Amino acid sequence: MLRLDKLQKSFGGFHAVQGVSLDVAEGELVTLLGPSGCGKSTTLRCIAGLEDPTGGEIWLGNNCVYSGARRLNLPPEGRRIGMVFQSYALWPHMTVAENVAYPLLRQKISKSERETRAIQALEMVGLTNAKDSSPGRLSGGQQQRVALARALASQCQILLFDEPLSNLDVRLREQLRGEIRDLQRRLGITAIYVTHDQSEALAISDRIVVMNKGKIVQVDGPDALYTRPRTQFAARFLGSVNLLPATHIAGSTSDNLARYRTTSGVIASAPAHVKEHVSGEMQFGVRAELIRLLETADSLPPDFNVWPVTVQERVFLGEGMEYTLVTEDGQQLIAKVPPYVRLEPGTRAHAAIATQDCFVITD
Amino acid sequence: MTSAGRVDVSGSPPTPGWGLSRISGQTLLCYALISILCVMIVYPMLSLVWGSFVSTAATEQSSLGNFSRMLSSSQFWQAWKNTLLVSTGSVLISVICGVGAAFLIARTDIPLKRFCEVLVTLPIFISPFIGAVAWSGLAAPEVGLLNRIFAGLGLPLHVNIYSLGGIAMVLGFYMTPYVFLFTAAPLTAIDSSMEEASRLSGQNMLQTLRRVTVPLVTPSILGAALLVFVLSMENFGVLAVLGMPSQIPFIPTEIYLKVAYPPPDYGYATVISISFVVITALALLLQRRYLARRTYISVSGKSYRPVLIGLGRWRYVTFAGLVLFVFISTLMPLATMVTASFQTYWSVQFTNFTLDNYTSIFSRSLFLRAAQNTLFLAFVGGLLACILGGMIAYIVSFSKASGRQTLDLLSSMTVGVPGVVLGVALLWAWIRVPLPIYGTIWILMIAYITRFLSFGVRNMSAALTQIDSDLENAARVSGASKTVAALTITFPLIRRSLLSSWVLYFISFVKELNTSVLLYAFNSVVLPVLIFDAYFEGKYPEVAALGTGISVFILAVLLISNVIFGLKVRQKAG
Repeated sequence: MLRLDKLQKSFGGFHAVQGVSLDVAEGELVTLLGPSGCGKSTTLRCIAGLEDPTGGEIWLGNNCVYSGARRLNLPPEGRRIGMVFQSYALWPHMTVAENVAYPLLRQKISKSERETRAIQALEMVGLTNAKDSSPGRLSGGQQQRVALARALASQCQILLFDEPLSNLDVRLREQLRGEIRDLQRRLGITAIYVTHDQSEALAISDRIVVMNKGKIVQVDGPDALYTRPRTQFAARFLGSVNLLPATHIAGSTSDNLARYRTTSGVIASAPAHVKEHVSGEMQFGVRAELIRLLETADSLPPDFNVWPVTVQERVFLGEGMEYTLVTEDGQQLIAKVPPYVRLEPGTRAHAAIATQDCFVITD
Repeated sequence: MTSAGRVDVSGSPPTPGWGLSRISGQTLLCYALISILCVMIVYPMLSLVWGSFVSTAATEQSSLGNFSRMLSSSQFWQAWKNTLLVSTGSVLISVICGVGAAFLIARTDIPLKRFCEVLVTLPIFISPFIGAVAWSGLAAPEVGLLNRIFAGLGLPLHVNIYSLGGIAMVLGFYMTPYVFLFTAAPLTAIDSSMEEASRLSGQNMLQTLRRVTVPLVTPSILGAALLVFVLSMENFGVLAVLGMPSQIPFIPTEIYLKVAYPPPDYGYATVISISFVVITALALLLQRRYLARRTYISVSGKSYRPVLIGLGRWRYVTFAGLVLFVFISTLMPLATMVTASFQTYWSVQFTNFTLDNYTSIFSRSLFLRAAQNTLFLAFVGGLLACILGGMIAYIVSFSKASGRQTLDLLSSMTVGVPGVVLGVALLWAWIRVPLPIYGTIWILMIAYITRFLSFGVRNMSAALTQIDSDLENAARVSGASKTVAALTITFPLIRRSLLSSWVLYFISFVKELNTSVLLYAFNSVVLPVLIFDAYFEGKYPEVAALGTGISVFILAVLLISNVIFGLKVRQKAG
């Protein structure tokens, strides 16, 4: 449905997007995730035609809408896309219904037909009552729903979301992202969603494209990305992660588990993947929120990696407790555990994590 | 769309699109506007420079003759000295009055703030030229109302408005609102936590004002002072009305006399004009630098009211003082002018109340022609200026067209050109062009649009920068082309600013004297010129009637646009 081929965009000497290639299937929701300045919004605006790329190709369905080599660049109005902006971008001089009907002006249909379709789109977001109000009188959440209705009304081939929820408060954000996901699934629309919020990306996406410095770092489903990040950047960007220097123990693989020696001397296991059977330095990844903190390691089932640690500091976060632990070789380990785990600083304890939850990074 | 989810690379041929080498429509428009401005501004200014070399008086041979003649003329140096003196005086008076009023209204608990603000900004709505006419009725030697009162009371007092001091005072009074507006805005917008931090550091209110507040607004005051300096210097109306009766030479009046009175001396007029432009442009460049520094006034989104200083029992005394100041500076001369308009003649004695002045003026064909011309210029010219200015503002602040910086520079260039100089330049530019422009109403229209264009451009640019560019982007992805998006989204959103710019142009055009006086012909006479000529023919009651009429008309336009469209028109210098 959408294909980016070595897409490039530079502003003067600054290369905002450097050779991004991506295939998005019909009906898929793909999120572009990354820190601000990583090129995710620029990529989206290039797809929309709001920025002129400096190289590569963009295909929408069977149509090439941009090609640097063929000097082809379709203007945004020729691309049949719907877009939801961070600032909502509702036109204050039109009513809600007029806003939603605007994209239908390009279609040669009667006024009453336009109105019907606008109402239909408003129905989908549950805002038919507001059709005659001025958008400025609606709440932020309602405004973003109107913007969504406007994007849907155009019967576009692809929906683009540019950080649509970041101006809303947390609870509303969670509710709306659910609604967006439901609508997108029900209508089977292809969607590209830009966000810097990792939990939003994990909750909503079929696939996540992690970007950094204008390049794609990793493309994977939410689950795979969380459990099997392939680079330090991807690992650190989703959740909080401890990376311990480790070496692979040759010939140790059994039951799909590979064994590694960490610098503290602990032999730890992680699911084996062919690619990591390399010698040399690597990072053993342990997610802070998957660590169990125990006073004794006796009752643990066998498939756990266990580090003897000393509690250095603890911070009460409300929904949990964040411990800073020190392993025997002086490495710091962050653990986020439920608030009922209460250990005083200075206490000796054990940090345990299921081998299935561990991963290895080689970059 | 095809149902296949995978992209078929070898599939249908690509939709024909826009080639990358294509020049965008906006860039084309940008260059078209640049060409228009070149004809309007650059060409006349170049003709002016060219004219200064070629047009020599009969006796002169050298092409630099005009310059050497100018530099060796004592009249030239005297005119510059007078011009600089009254401008400096005007700056001093307006800064003291304007900053004082701004401080009282913005930072003390003076009663009826809104009313005070209206009072102080009142002179902005009256053309300084009309104001000078009014002052001459009040304080001319012998016949001035004040002198009559003093004589009647047997007081040995005598005032003469036809003097350097008098002219500086009138200019200063009429410039006070500009300083006020420039200073009051930052005084109220200052982030009050800056002052609170100073108070918590142990400084009392007055120390805080001196150490924190005043330094913060100083760049604004300096910027306003430089603007006032230029506006005073180029205020042909005031300088002519009050300076010519006692033959005090000023630069703008010298230029006018050399062109308008026989034998004309164009060469000399052009060289003085050039010296004039150089000084005003320099002062305005300096002013821009001061205003650029204003950025450290932080306007916080939070709407904390600044701490007000309690005046205690001085509250009403201060209020009375402010009202008295406005009465003397603005209301008294206007009241005198209105009174004079109902008199048969204006001399040492009052005559019976009469409407003769009004009836005789309105029945004269000259007046009707002038009124018709003025209205046509203001209405149609204002509309044209609004369209041109709107396009320039859009290209400069809302598009990515290449060449928009050049356009910005060109459109703001006219601000540095005094009206009289523009008049001379246009005279030179169009006198030899075989088009029906010179000597017709069209040269006036060109002059007016050129002179005031940038005020509206700034007005509309300010409105445009408030608009999120995603509003237009949303229209683009909804299927609208650039032009359609601009016409259905952006321009409707700034419609209030478009309308207020039109009103601003309309009023500025109605009042325009500086270029009109040099460019009008028998058929293209306009109202301000009519007043100007009648003034020097000594028909004061008639002049007063015309001045009253035009002022009432302008106030009515402002009032109507305010009531009907809710517009707040901030008038610029005129």
